[in-house]
Amino acid sequence: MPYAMVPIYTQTVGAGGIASITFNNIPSTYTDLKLMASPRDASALIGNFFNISFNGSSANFSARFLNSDGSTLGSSAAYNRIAGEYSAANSTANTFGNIEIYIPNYTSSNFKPYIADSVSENNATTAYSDITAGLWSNAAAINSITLAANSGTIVQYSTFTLYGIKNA
Amino acid sequence: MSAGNPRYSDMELIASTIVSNTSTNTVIFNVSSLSSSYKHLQIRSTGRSTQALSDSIQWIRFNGDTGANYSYHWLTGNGTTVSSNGGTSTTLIRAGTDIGSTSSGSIFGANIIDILDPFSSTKNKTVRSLSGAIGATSQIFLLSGSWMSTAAVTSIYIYVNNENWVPGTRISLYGIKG
Repeated sequence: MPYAMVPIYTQTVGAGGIASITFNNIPSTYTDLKLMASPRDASALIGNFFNISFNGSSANFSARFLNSDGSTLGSSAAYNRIAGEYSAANSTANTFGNIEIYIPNYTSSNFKPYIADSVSENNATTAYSDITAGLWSNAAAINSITLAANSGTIVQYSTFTLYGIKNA
Repeated sequence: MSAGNPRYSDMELIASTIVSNTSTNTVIFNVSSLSSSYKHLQIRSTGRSTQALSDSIQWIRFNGDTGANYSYHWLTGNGTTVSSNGGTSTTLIRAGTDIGSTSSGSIFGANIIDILDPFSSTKNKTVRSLSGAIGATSQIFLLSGSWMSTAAVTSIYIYVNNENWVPGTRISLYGIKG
């Protein structure tokens, strides 16, 4: 019996942290992909963000985001691979971000859109909320996804789960 | 898809409450038995309250913790303005929006609340919500919240602000495997 939403793989960051996580060998048998992440960063910041790559490529990306820091609002096209903001070392201890990235039609021969909504929490005025729309202008099917911390290290206990979504 | 060939998913409905009276303002999901089955939890709701406002706040509390152990923030727009704010050291997380009684009848709000790694014993619990209510005044929210406890979630309390829900309000809990 077919499953509509299937976990492909879960990665949990171990002791020492890591600069990026990659999902390789993504099967081509689904329609869409969904990545759910609960990360924290070691950077001396309240929040950090991910840069996304597909198939090992960081070329031909563009993105727009709408975000807030708890008091000030912003929207920008300055970060062309941004894919979610999350809590970092200067936020409340043990607090991790909450990110969902959705990639429809990832095996299509069309260019690849993605959307992300993300939050970082902090027991203070400053905490980041972000909605992103992005595009990889490449006709290749996606077979790997990398999320790289914009700076610093993704810390232990951060989790990332990739799901395959079927529509038939 | 032919009849008799049901589709399954690793996102499963665990429980659903459909309000049938005007004396309910709290829904409690007991989730202590779910830690071995699911990695994440999601709450989906559509609600309307008796509060004499255009819309009502939907609050969340974990494990019955009534201490000042929560924080929350939001990004919102109403069609003309956008704003952002939050609360620190609070006793609840603002996690959603329901329509209030001054909005036209038959209108309900909509909320999707994601709780990632709720059973972790090493992380505080971070909530992310997408919420909208198109009523007498309309708003869309991206909300975040934190329960500053590394204890595994055993129960989830969902409240409407100061009033009760009306019949037809539905609050459903889903488990997501990983």
